Amino acid sequence: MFKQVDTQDLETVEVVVDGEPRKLQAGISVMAALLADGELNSRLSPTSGKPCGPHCLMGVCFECLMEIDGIQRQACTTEIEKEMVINRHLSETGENSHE
Amino acid sequence: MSKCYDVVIIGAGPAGINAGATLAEMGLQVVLLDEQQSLGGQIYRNISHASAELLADMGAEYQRGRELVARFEQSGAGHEPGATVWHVEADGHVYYSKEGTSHQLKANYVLVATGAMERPVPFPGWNLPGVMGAGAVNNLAKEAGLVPDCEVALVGSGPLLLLEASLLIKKGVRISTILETTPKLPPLTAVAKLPPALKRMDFLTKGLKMVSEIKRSGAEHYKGVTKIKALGKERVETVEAYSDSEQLHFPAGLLLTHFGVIPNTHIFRLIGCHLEWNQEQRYWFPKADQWGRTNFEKIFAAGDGAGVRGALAAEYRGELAALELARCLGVIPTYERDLLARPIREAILHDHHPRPFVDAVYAPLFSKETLDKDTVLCRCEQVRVQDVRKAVQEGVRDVNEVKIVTRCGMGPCQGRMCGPALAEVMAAELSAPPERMGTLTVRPPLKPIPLEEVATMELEGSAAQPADLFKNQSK
Amino acid sequence: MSEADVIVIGGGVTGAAVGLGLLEEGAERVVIFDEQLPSQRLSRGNFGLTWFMCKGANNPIYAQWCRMATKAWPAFAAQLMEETGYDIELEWTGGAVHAFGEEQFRQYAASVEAITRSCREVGLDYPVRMLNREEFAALIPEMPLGEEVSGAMYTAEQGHINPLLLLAALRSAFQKRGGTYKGAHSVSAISPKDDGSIAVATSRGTYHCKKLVVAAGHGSPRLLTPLGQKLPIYPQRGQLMVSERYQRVLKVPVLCTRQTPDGTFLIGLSTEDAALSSEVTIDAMKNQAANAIRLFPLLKKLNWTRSWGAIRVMTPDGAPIYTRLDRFENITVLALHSAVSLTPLHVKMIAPWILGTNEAPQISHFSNKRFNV
Repeated sequence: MFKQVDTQDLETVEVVVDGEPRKLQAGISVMAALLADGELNSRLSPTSGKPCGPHCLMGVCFECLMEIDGIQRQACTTEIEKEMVINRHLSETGENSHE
Repeated sequence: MSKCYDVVIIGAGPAGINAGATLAEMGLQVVLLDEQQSLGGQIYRNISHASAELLADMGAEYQRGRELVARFEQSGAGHEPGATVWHVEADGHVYYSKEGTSHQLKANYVLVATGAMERPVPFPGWNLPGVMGAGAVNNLAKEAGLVPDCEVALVGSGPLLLLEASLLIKKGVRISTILETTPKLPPLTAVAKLPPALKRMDFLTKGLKMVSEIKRSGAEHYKGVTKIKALGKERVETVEAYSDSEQLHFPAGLLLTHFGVIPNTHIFRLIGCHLEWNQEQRYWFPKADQWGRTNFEKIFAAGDGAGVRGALAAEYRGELAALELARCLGVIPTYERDLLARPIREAILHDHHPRPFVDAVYAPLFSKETLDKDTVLCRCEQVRVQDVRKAVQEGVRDVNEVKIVTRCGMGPCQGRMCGPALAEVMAAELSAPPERMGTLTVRPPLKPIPLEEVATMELEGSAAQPADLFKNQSK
Repeated sequence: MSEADVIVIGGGVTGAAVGLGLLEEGAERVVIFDEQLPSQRLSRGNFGLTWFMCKGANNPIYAQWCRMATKAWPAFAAQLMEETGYDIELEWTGGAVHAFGEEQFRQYAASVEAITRSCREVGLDYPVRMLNREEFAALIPEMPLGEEVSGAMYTAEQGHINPLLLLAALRSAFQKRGGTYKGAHSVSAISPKDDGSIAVATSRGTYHCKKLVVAAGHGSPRLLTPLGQKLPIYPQRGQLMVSERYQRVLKVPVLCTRQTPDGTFLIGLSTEDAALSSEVTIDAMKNQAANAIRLFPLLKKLNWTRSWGAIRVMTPDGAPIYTRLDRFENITVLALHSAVSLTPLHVKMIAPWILGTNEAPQISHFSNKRFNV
C-alpha cells in the first residue's frame, strides 16, 4: 500500500521478522521499514484480539508496539538496526500474547 | 557526558532547535533530548537527509528547517538523539532512556518543546489497520520516501487535511474522496476575524491555490459531512459518511484522518504545570508568561506544545524563551533581552494575523450526536462510548474516576488517544463544559521502559527507606 | 428532597460498602456524598489483596476481625457480582510473603509462631505456614524464583480482587438497592441540631439526616474538628508500579507482586512518611523494581507502564477506628486502612452496628476511646 519514490541507492539491513530472515530498508524506523515492505499489521490487540496497524507514526498512539529484541517497543520511534529480532505475534491466541 | 546543564531542552522541533542554538551561542551548557534520530521534530522530520526531490515537494516552509538545523549544529549545543524522556520533576531533574539505559540529569532550567499531536477523534472503525493520521503519511514521505500506492480517502477538518491532500495529488496519488466535517458555510465568528487575516494576502492566496489544485484533480470533495465510518474486515476497505441526508460511500485503501492539532500536554501534566483551556479549539495548554515560564520557576514551555500556532511561531517562541533563560542565568541584562525580543515579537505578530480566522473556520465540533455509542473510545483497552456513559450515569463526575471504573486511558498510550474525547463524551452526557471534567492524571513513566532499566539506573543521593507496612504493630 | 435517614460522607470503598450495608439492613433514604478527589481516593492506589496474614500481631481482636473479613469474602464477592454484573476479579488462590536469605526466613517463621500463639489466646486459629524454597517454587511453577529467595510464609485462605472494580460494583449495588449517590458534592460542615437531626452543608445545598457516617479519609478531621472531636489519624504514602500485560504465570499473589487476570503485574510496597503528598518518586520506583526482579527475574524485560502514589489513613495502632462521637451518638466515624480486605464486614457488621440493629462483639474494641487511656 506504500511505494518507494526514490529507489536508487537504498541501503538495506538484514533482520528477522516473525522468525523469517528479511531485508528491510535501512536508516528509518522499524515501522516505516515494515510498511515499505508491504506490511500493515503491527500486533494483535491484547484486549480485542484483532490485528492493529500503526495510526500516528509519531510516538503517540502506541498501536505499533511490537517485540523488538525481546522488549515491547514502539516500532515508529525505534530505528531499524541490523540483526534485530522483531516479533509481531500475529498468529497467536490471547493466551500466549505478550503485549 | 555531564549530568548537570544550564538548560535541558526536550524536543528537537523548531522551538527546541532554535532555543538550543541561541543558548549555546551565548556560551551556556545546553543539551537537547529528542526521541528521533535526527533533528527537526515532526515538521522538519529528517530534514538533514532529505533528498532534492523531497525538498522540492515539501516547499519552502520545509526547507527553512535546514537553516535552523545548520545553525544548531554550529552552535555547540549538545544533542542526544534517540532519547526518550520518561520523567521530569519541577525541581529540574530529567530522566530519559537511551539505547536500553536510563539516565538522570539535573538542569538549572528545563525547556519543554514537545510539540503538538493530531487531535484524536474517535469514529466507528478508526482503529482498523489502514486508518492513519494524515501526519503519519506526511512523516512517511519525509522519513522514508514512501507514498501511498493505493486509492486514498481523507476525512476530517483543518488546513493540514487539505495540505496533505494537495501534497498527495502532486505526487500522483489517487484520491477517492475528501470528506470535511467543517460546515459548508463558515461560522459568523470567523467572519469577524477576517480583517486581520487580510493583512496576510500571501497566506490566503496560498490557501486558495491549494483548494483549486484539489478541485482540478477531480477528487470528490464534500463539506459538512457527518457520521463517518471506516469499514473493512481485517483492514479498512471503504469509508462511509452522510452529506445532508445523502449517504456517501467511497473506496479507501488507506483512510487518512486529520481533525486539527492540539498540544501534547502529557509532560506538563506529569510535572504538575497549571493548564488553561482554549475554549474555541477545545484543548488544554500550559499556563505560561510571555517568555514561556510555567507556574514552576525552572520549567519553561515553547512551541506548539504550549499552544498551537505553527512552526514559524514555534521557532520564535523558542528564541524568546532562550532570551529569558539567558537573563535568568546571568548572561544578558534585562534591557538587552527586551531589545533582542522586540523584532521577534513583531515577527510573531505578523505570522499570527491569519490564525484567528483559520481557527474559527475549522473550530472543532462536538455534541452528544457526534459519537456513536458503540464507537471504541479507548483503543488500547477497547472501551466504548457507552461504557463511559454508563459510568457517568452511575454518578462518576471526574475523568480519573471514569478511568478506574472502565480502564479508559489505562493502556499503553496512557490516554493520549482517548483523553480529549473522553472529556467530551462525559461533558455531553452531563450538559457541562468539557474543561469541568478534569484531565487524566499523568504519572511516570511518560513512556514505558523495561523494569530492569529503572532497577539498575544510577540516581544521585538515593535515600529510599525499606518498606515496613506493619511497623505500627511491633511492640 | 434534601432529607435523608442516613448520610454517608465519603464514597470510597469504606463509604460505599457501609452505604450498601445500611440499605441491606433496611435503612431507607441513604445518601452518599463523594467529591471524587484523586488524593482522597485510596482505592486508586490499592494493591487489591484481601488478606489477614500478618495483620494484628499485637492485637488478637484485630487479627480476628481481619480473619472474619477474609472468610466472608468469597460469598460476599459472589453476591456483589450477581447483583451488579461487575466482575471484581476475585481469585481465592491463597497468598504469600517471600523471604530473601535464611535470616529473613527465620524471622518470618518466628512471627508466624508468635501470631499463632496470640490468636490461640482468643480461640482463633492462624492457618499460616512457612514454605521452603522448593515448596514455594512448586506453588507457582510457571514463575521462576530469584536465587536469593529462601522461601515464603503462606496461607491458602486469602486472595485478591480488583479494587477499582470493587469500588464501581459497591457504588452500583448501592444505587440498585435504592441509595442516592451524589458525585462531585463536597461537604463543608456538619451541624447537629437541637431536635437530634443533623444538617450537612454541601457545595450544592444543605441536607438533613437522622444519622450520619463520616468516612472521608483524610478529609474527615476538617469536618470533625468543629464538633470538638479529634481523630488520631496520620498519612502514610504507598507507591506502586504497573507493568504491561504478560501471559498469566503468577497465579498466587505475593505481598509486593501480583499478576492480575488481565496479565499486568502490580509491583511495590512502600510505607513512607510524606505528609499528604501522593507524588511518585523515582527512588521508590527503582527500589521496588529492583526488589521485584530479585524475587522474580522474569520481570526484567517487562515494561513498566504506570505508577501510583496514594495516601493510607493510618491509626496509631494500625487497627481501624469505628467510633461514635461522644456528644453526638448519631454521628459515626470510620477511619482505617485495609478497607478492601475489610469490605465484607463493613457491609455486614458495621452497617447494622450503625443502625443499632446488631452489634458484633469486636466492634467496641475499635472505638476511638482506646487512644485516650
